[in-house]
Amino acid sequence: MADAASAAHEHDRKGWFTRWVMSTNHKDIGVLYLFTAGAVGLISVILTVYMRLELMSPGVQYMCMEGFMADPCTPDGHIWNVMITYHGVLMMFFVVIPALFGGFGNYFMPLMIGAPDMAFPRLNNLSYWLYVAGTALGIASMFAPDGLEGTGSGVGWVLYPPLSTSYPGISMDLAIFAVHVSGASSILGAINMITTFLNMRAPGMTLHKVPLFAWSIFVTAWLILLSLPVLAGAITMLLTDRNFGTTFFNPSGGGDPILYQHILWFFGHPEVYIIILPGFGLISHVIATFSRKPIFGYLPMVYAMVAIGVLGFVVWAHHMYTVGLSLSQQSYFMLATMVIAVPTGVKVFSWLATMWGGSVEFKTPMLWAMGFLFLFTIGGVTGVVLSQAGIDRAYHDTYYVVAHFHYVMSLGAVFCIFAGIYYWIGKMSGRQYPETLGKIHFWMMFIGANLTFFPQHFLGRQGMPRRYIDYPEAFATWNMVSSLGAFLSFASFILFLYIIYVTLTKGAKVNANNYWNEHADTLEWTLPSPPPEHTFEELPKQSDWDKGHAH
Amino acid sequence: MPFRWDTETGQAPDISGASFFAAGDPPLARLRLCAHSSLSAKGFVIVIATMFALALVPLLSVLGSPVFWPLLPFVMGALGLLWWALKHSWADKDIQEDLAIWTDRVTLRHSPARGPEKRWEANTYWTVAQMHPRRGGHRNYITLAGGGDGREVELGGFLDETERATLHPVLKRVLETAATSARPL
Repeated sequence: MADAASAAHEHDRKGWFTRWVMSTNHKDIGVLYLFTAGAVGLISVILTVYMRLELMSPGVQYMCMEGFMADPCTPDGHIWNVMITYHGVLMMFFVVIPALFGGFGNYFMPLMIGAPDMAFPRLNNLSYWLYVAGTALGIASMFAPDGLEGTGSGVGWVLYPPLSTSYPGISMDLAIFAVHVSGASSILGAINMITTFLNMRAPGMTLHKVPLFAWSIFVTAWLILLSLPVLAGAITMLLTDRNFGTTFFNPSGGGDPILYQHILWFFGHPEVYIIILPGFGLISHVIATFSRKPIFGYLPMVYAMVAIGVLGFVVWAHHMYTVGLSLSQQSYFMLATMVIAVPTGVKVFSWLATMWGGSVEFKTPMLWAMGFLFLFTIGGVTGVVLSQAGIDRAYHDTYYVVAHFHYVMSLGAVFCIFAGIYYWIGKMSGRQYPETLGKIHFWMMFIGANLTFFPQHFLGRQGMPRRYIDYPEAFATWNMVSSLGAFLSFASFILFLYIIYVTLTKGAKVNANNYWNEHADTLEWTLPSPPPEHTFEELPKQSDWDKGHAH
Repeated sequence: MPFRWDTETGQAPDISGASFFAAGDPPLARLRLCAHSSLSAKGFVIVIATMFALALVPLLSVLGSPVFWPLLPFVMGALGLLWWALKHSWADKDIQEDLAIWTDRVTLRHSPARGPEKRWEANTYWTVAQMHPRRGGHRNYITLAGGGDGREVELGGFLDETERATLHPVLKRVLETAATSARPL
C-alpha cells in the first residue's frame, strides 16, 4: 500500500520546455493542438486569400510566369493548382481535425468523463508531435521541386492517379509522407481516445449518461480508426506505384485508377464526418447552456451521431457519379446518401427544440452556434440536391459543389471551432474574452463567409467549373462579390487573432468555476478556471455530474 | 463493486466471539478493493467484434484485387493496436488491495499495476482506521495506523469519496469487534 499522502501535496514546478515540449498532460497537449492548428489555419487561409484575389476579376493578374503581378502576364496555372492542393491538404488533415478532435477532444473529453488524463499520456504526446512533423512535411512539400517547372504539387488534395503517380519530383512524395504521418498521428490519437472513453469513465457513468461532446469524440475516433488505415494503404500504393514500378492504379500493368478513387472516398467521406462530428457534440453543450435547458432528446442525439458515423461508411461513391458507375450502383449510393439526412435532421430538430421555450441568451458562443445551425442546414440541403445522381451530372466539379462543402465544412466546422473557443477560453486560460469584440468577430465572419460562398451556388448553376485559374467575363459579378466576402472573412480572422491576444494578456480574470450558468453542468465546470495541472486524480462523485436529466 | 467483503453476502461479517489467530486460522474478515475500470469483459468483446466487422467493409469490397493485400496490414494493424490498447489500459488500472483481519493481527497487501507488492501489518488492538474529511487534495481519506514500523498507510485511495464514506464506519466496527472478539492470553 502507499504510505498516506502528506498534507501538502506539492508538485515540482516544470520548466517551459518540459511542460510544452515533453508534455504528457492532456490539457497542455490540447492547448498545443489548438495553437498549432490556428497557425496552420492562418497559412491555409492566406492561400485562399491569394486564390480569391486572383479570381476577383476575369483574366490572370497575379499568378504570372514572370512573377507576382507581372505585366504583361503569362498565366501560371501551376501556382493556382498548388494553392488549391495545399489549401485542401492543410485544411482537411492539419487544421480542422487537430483543432476539434485533437484540441478540444484532448482537453475536454477526459474532463467530462472524470478521467485524470488520457489512457496513454505519452502516446498522446507522440500523436501531437507526429502531427507537427506531418505539417512540416506538408509545408516542405509546397516548396520542394515538382520536377517540371516549379515547386509544390498541383494534383488536388485527393491525390488522384494517374496525375499523382506521374508527377516526377519529390514534392509529391513529401505530400504523401505528410498525409501518412498525419494519419499515423490520428490513428494513435483515436486509439487513445477510444481507450480513455471506454475504460476511464467515472463510476456510474454508463454509456447512456456520457456527455454529448465526449460521445461525439468517441464516434469520431471510431471513424478515424476505421477509415485512416484504408487511406494509409491507398497512399502507400501510390508511393510504390511512383517509386517501385508497381501498377496498382496503372492500367498498363492491369491496375485500375478508379479503384484508387473508391478507396480514397471510402476514407474521404467518413473524413468529412470526422471533421464535423466533434462540432455536433460541442454545439449541443453551447445551445443547452445558452438556452438554459437540458439538451432535447439526449439519446436520439447520441444515436443520430452513431447513425451518421455508420452511414458515412456506405455512401462514398456519391463523390464519383461521373466515373462510370452502373445504374444500380448509382441508385444505391443516391438512396443511401439521402438517408443520412434523417439522423442529421434529428440533430437539427433537437437543437431547435432545445432552444424552443428556452431562455435564449445571445452570448458570443451562442451566436456562433446559431450561425453554425443556419449555415450547416443550408449546406445539408444543397447536399441532398447533389446526392441526386442525375442532377450531379450537371453540378459535378462546378462551384455549386465548392459552395456546398464549404457551407458544411468551412462554415459548419469552423463556426464550431469558434463557438468552442469562446465557450471554453475562460475555462482554459482563466481569462474572459471581450464580449463586444467577440460579437463583431461573429458578424464579420458570418457576413463575410456568406458573401463568399452563397454566390458560388449561382456560379455553379451557371456552369463555372471548379479548380480553374480563370473564367469567362460572364461570371465576373459574383466572383467579385465572393472575393470581397473572402477578404471580409480574412479581416475577421485577423480580428480573432487580436481577440485571442487581448484575452490572454488583458482579459478579465475568471474567478468562478462555472461562469455561464447551471446548465453548463458537465464536469469541467466543477473545476477552477484554469484547471489545475492534475484533475480527477480522485474519482469524482456521481452527484457532481449526474444531474438526473441526460446531458 | 470496487470493494467487497469476502463473505457469502459481500457484506461485512458479524464476528461471533471466537478468536482466530493469524498463525494458522482463516481470517475473521477479509476486505478486497480494486480500482474502477469502466470497460467490462463483455464490452471488450463487443468493441473488438464491432471493429473487426466494420473493418471488413473496405476489405470485402476489394476482395480478389491486388489492392486487397496492401490494405490488409493497415486495417488489421489498427485492430491489433486497439486490442493492445484496451488490454494495456486494463493492466494499468489493475490495482488491488487486500485487508485481512484476525483477532491478533491485521495485514494489508497493496498490488500496484506494475512493480512489487507492498505490505503492511499491525496488531488489531492497536490498529486505528481514521477517515480524514479533507487531507491534501483528498476527501474522506482513509488511513490505517498502529503498525510496529510506525507508518501510516492509505486504504482505498482509488475509491471515490462516497464509497470511502460508506466503507469507513463498517471497517471501524469490524476492527473493534475483531480485536475484542476474544482475549488471547
